[in-house]
Amino acid sequence: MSRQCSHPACLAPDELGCKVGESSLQQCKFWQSSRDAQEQTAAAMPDDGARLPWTGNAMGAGDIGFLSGATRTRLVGIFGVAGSGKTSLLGAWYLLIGRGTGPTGISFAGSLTLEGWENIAGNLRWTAAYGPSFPPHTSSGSGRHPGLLHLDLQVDDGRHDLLFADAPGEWFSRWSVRREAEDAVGAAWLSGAADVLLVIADSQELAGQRLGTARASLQSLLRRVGAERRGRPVALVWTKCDVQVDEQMRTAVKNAADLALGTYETFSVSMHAAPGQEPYNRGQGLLELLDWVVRVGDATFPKKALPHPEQDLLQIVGGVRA
Amino acid sequence: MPEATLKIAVFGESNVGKSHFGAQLIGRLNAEIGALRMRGAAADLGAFEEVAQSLSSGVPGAHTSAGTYTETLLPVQSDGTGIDLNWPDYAGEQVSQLLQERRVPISWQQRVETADGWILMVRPKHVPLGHDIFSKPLSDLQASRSGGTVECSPQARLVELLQVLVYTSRARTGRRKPALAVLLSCWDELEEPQGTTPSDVLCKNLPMLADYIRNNWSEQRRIVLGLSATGVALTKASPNQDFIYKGAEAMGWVVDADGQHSPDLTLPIARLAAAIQN
Repeated sequence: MSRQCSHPACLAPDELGCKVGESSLQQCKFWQSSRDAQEQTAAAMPDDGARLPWTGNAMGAGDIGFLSGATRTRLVGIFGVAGSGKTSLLGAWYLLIGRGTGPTGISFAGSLTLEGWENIAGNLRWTAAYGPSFPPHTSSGSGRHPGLLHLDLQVDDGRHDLLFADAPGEWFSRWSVRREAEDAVGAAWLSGAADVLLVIADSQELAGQRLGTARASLQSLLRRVGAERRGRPVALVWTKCDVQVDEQMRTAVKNAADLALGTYETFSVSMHAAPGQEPYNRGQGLLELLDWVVRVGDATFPKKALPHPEQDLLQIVGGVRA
Repeated sequence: MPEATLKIAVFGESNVGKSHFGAQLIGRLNAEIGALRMRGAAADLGAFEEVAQSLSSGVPGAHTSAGTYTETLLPVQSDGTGIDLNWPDYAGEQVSQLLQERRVPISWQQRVETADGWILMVRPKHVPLGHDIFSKPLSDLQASRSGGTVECSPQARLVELLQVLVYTSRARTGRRKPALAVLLSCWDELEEPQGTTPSDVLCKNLPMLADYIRNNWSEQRRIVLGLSATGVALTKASPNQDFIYKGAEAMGWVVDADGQHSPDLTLPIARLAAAIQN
């Protein structure tokens, strides 16, 4: 579509919504008065109605402004190498919340990214043709920001807006080796903006054939997160905890985390229930971790001053909008 | 002049029974035995004529065609209060299209903005929760499936629909959210034991939708009721004799919030009117 709005600051129709707040472009006087509008009168543009200002899919930079300032938005960063279970963790949380099986006092109150959640959680459902499978690999692409999944939660008597970053693991592998890596700016951004940081220890890899490499990668990641955390809450999360990890390896990881992080929490999670566990339908540790993520106190850490905040809306998500 | 003008918008996807409920509601209003009564005669009941005639013959009405949108003005009264009830009839595909295209047609926008109360019709049997890795565990997860599209779960679609409606109703007007009545339709096909409450069924079948509603509408402004507009499933092949001999107005029932059945199909509207005026 070649037609552009006559308002100098409006990008319609390239951006969602209307700069002056009309819910339909057809109702905006700037849109109506645009030069092209006259030319196209003969073409009789159909009544296209009001576009919704959110797509339902994972959010990008342009979408964040839509989150209202009614409550503070908490950004949760999940740091882990590819295949360590970051996306599965998010999908599992969504399924549990969707079943009304949230942590005590926490329940679903809305989401602007339902389609994004469904895309990752759908794989963990049974369909007529398939059983559950792992969510697809999160593509690293060339993006500068991870896809963000939104949840509005009722927490006791209050509301919490949360954004969960679904970032590709390759970013973290590069970032842990080189902080300024060109192809890991998304990881660097997340480490600066996140309010709560989760570092993933993949039990399967740490007990698998390449356990030595997995340990070394995790130690690098822990060191990098430790250097960047600036007093924010951090948790070490053992994913796939139904897989037995050698005690020696556990100790090595714990020592590395102690050294790099100092204070931190430890959680063990799995989508599989422990043998004999009742009720069986909530996996292990998932609700405890979500409860911590939602409730852990905000650290009063200094945010970087932003020279051009309007150019990087995402940078201001983590706390400044309070 | 009525003492209150109440606009009610009815939402529901295809095959939830919107037209059948509309036709049955008009039958009950004309029979003047329920909580709501006709106040004079409606000017035009043409929109529901076909469904009403089919029901009189003991067979289901035809599916509302996709492009249809009509509104029937029903002048009614409840406890001496006059109410102008605007009852719409449209094909559920319009709701699906709205979600798919993610744009609210201007005509819909106006209806959503001016409504004082919403009825969301949901047919639980058609929106199953389904099993996932937690409810039906698998010892080993399979490798990720590639290429296939993931179908949105029914309850996520319904939550998104309500979110779209809430956004549309407030974006330009800043008005208070309309009161909400959730009607769980075709209750007879659920085969729930007597006394089961509609809220229980909503929480069991669509827990995320139930949480969303509970956390966004106060107790006074939300209602969950069950509905069987015809009481039994009708088929074209074998006309129902009760409908033919007793009349459609004797058929169908509502499940009240406490699980008790009532033959008064005007009850949901009366309850919603009370919630709106609350």
